[in-house]
Amino acid sequence: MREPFTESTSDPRQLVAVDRPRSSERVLVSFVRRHQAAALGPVIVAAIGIGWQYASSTGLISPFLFPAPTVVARSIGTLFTRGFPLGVTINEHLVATVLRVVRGYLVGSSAAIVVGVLIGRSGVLSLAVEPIVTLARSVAVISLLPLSVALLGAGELSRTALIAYAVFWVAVTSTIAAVREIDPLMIRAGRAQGARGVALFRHVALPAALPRIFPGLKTAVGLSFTVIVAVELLGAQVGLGALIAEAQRLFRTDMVVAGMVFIGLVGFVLARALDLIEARLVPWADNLRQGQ
Amino acid sequence: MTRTRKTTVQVIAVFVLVGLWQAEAWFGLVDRMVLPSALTVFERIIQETTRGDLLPQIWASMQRAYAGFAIGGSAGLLLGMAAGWNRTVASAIRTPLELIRPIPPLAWITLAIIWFGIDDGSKVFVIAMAAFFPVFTSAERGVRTIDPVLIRAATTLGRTRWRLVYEVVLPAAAPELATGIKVAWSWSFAALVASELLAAQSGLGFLINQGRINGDFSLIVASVLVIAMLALLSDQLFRAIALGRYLRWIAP
Repeated sequence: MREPFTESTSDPRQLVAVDRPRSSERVLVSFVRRHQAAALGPVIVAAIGIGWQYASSTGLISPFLFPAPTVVARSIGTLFTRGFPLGVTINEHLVATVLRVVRGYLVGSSAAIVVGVLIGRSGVLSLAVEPIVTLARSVAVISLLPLSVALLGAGELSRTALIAYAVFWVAVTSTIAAVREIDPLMIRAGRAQGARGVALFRHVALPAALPRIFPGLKTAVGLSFTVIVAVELLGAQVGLGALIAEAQRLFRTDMVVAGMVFIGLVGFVLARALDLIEARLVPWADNLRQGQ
Repeated sequence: MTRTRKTTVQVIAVFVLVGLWQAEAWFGLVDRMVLPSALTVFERIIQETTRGDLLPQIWASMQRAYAGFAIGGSAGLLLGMAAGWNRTVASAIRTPLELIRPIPPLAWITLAIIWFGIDDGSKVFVIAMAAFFPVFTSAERGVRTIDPVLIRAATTLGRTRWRLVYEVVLPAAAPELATGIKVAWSWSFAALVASELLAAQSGLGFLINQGRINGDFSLIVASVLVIAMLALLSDQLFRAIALGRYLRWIAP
């Protein structure tokens, strides 16, 4: 499928191909061939959608268990207009969930970077906290919900604390590792240029560590979203998790699926957002990783 | 730093942590009802074990975890290897999978309860969802990035189909795969606890729920610790078996 026009070649077979007349049919065939791979996915998604619609509307599969795409689309419309549970529109659910994630994430990750840098500077400390961090990371975050509610009340504070807890341990692990792995040559070079204390940290240590801190920060985004959905499933008035939990209690499968569509959207946007931030903040990340 | 010194530092650190926890209880900084002292919790774990209440719950949880992990993991392995090997398969299944990947596994619990009822089926489904994606991604990448020279050499030496897969493709993809399986296991474990908290008649999540309903906080903290220990233990076990035995050629 190589394009002979664009390549200068001395291969005689390809030169012949240039002279050959191309009928419109040929063009079409080669176009389809070239884009076959890219089109296959969407085609399959569309086929699943149409098959699902047909099977569900004719009763081939239970419309209660598997509501048809059009039914789900109507429920999504309802979420915007009347809301579910009645009066709570999707905007309120979205804002509640995203705000919780952002709050907990900011608290957890900023604490982790400060603590991680302090610990990472000392070899003995990094060793000493290793088993503690491993144990804390092994704790299933959601199992702490009853404790956090008892200590901090049933409001937003306990939710923020849970997300912050989850984010902290993941981010602190990658921060400690990142600080430990800073090339000593960079520090020495910085010193030789006259950088000391905060300046050395700000202009040498932090830029060197950030690319290796970021993978942890990215994992933590997904984790914090998982945690908040679980917390909302277990008990909240608003939020995407609360929405699907309520829909399930009332056996509104269509609303559950509609809510899942929004959960998927938010999960997607959150993951992409961190990619963009990373590209803006540490454009040198790729170089460093390749050098590893 | 020598190994013994490393171990010494870490053991001391753990003792300091437990000591701080116990000291906190003596000074009474946090409500004793909510955060019981270290000794109380250890006593509780021993008491529950000797009474024979704890092990059946652990067994119930582990059965679900293993079932879901086996189903989701093998589906991810098969689909991932197929997608890594064949570009048509990859482009066919990538779009549908990318559509559901951003949904946290636990969010499936609502649909799973409607589909499979409140028994084990729904929990196994959620755990399988949690295990699927990490294994799928790593299997796909592991197979896709195999050095083509390896495949060609093996083909030249007469390896075809299953022997090629078993003797060349799998070992070459193994390091990548090991990472994926490790992540999948820890996700499965998290999904297990959360789904048991939401709806279960047995298991460790159920124990926490019992503690919550009865205001029995030493039971809650004991269960949280037992869950963490189990996760830690299975992780170490995996590392010892997989990395020690089958993946000796990759650097630790």
